[in-house]
Amino acid sequence: MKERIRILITEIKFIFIRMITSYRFDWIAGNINLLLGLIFLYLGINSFRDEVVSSNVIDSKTIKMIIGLYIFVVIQEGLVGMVSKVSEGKAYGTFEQIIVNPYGSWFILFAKAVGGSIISFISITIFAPLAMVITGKYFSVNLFKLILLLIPLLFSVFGIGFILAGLTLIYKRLQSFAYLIQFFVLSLMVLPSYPFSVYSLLPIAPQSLVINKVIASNVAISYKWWIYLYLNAFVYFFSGIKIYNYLEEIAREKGVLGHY
Amino acid sequence: MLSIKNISKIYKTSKGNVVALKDLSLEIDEGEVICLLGPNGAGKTTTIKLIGTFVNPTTGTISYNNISITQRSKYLKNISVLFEGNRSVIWSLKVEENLEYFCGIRGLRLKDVKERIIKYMKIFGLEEYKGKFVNEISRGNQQKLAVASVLVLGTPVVLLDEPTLGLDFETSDNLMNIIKKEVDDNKKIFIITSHDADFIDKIASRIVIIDKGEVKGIFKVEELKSITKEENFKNAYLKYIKNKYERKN
Repeated sequence: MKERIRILITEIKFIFIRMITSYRFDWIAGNINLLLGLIFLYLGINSFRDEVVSSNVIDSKTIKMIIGLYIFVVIQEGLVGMVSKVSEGKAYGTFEQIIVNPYGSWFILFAKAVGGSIISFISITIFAPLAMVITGKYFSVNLFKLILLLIPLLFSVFGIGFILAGLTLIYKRLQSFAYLIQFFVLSLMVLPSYPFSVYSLLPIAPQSLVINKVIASNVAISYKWWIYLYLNAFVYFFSGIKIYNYLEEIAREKGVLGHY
Repeated sequence: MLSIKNISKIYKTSKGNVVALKDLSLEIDEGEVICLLGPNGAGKTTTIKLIGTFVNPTTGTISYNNISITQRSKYLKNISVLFEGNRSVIWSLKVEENLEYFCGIRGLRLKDVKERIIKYMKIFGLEEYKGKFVNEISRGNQQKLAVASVLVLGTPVVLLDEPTLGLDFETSDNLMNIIKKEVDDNKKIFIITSHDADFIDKIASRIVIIDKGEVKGIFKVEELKSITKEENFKNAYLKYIKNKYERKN
C-alpha cells in the first residue's frame, strides 16, 4: 500500500513539475483560457447582447451550464487522457517502464489520471471564485458535497478510460476513436437517469446528472442514492480494470506490448 | 539465479505459425553477463521481451530465485529493462528528475534512493547536466541517462536491448566499465543484446547465439574462440555461423 501511495504522489508531483517547467507557457495559456471561459459563462450570453449585466447573482441555468462544462472537462480528461498516455508512452518508449512495473500498468495509468484530475480540480477551484470577483457575479457551491459527488463520477469515467486504454495496447493509436466515444459518453450526461430508471444502470449517466441536480438545483438525494452512485461507479471502475488487464494479456500473446 | 526452461514463442498469424524463439534453456547465476547474439530478426529481442514479461511464452517457464513469471508482481520487483536507450527517458523532465521519477513510479522512497541517484549521476558523468532537460544533452548522454534510470532502480536482473546503439567508442567503453562494476560490486545479472562484437568480447560471461528463432549455441567467449580456432571474437562468431557447428549447450 505504501508503495502505491508513493506512486500516486510521484505522478502528482511530476505532473505539477512538468506543468510549471516544460509546459509553463501552455499551462499559463490554458489557465487564461479557463478563466476567460468562466468569465464569459458568468456574464452570460444575454448580458453581451443587452450590454447590461442585470444581476449580481448567476441564474440556475448558467450554474447548470458551468457545472456541465466542468463535468465535460473531467470526462474528456479521463477518457482521452488515458488513451493518449498509452499511445504517447508507446511511441516514445516510456511505456515499457510502465509495463515492467510490479504494481501493474493499470495502477500507473490510474495514478496519472488521478494526478491530472486533482490538478484540474485545483485549477477550477482557484479560478471559479476569481472569475466571480472579476465579474462581480456570484454563486455558491458546497465544495465538500461537490468533491463527494465528483469521486464516483471520476471512478466511473476511469472505468471507461481503462477499456479505451486497453484497446490502445492492441490497436496502437486510438485518439480519434476516443474523441468519438467521448461524444457518445457526453450524451449519457443528459439521459434521464435520476430518479432511477434503466439509464441509471449506465456508467457516468447517474453521477453526472446528480451532480447537476444537487449542485445547480439544490436537490437533496437520499442516502440510498449516495450508495448507489458509488456502487455503480466502482462496478464500472473494477470492470474497466479487469477488461484492461485482459486486453493487456491479449497484447502479450500477440507480442504488441511496448513501443512501436 | 534466473532460470529459463525450454521457452518457445510461436506467433499465430493469418499466414500460419511464426516461430520467434524455439526451446531456449539457460541458468544464469548472479554476477553473469549474458549476451544474445544473432542476425536481425533472430529472436534476441523476443528473448528479452519474454524475460521482461512483454510477451507470454508459448511453452516453457522462466523464474528468478524460484519466483515464476506467472507471479508477475513479485517477479517484476527483480527486473528492469531498457529498449533502445534514449527513447526511454522523459524529455519534458530534467536529467535528475528522470531518475527520481522512474524510482518513484516503482514505489521507491525518494529518501532511500537519493544517494543512489547522486551515485549514478556521478558514475555516468551526468552531474554537470543537472538542471538540464533531456533535449539539451547529447545523444550519448541521453543513452547514459536511460541506462542510469534503469540501474538506479537497483533490481538484481537488468535487461538491455542494444545499449550501445549509436554510441561513440568512448561512451560505449564507459558503459561497458559501468556494467562490469555493477556485476563485480552488486552481483547483478545482465542480459544484453548487441551487434557490437568488441563490446560483447570484453563484457560477456557467456554468449547465446540465436538464428531464426533457434538457439545455435551457448558458449563462453574463449570457448567459442577455441572451437573456431579464431583469436578475434567477431571472426570466431562469423566462422561459427558459417560452418554451422554442432549445437552445444
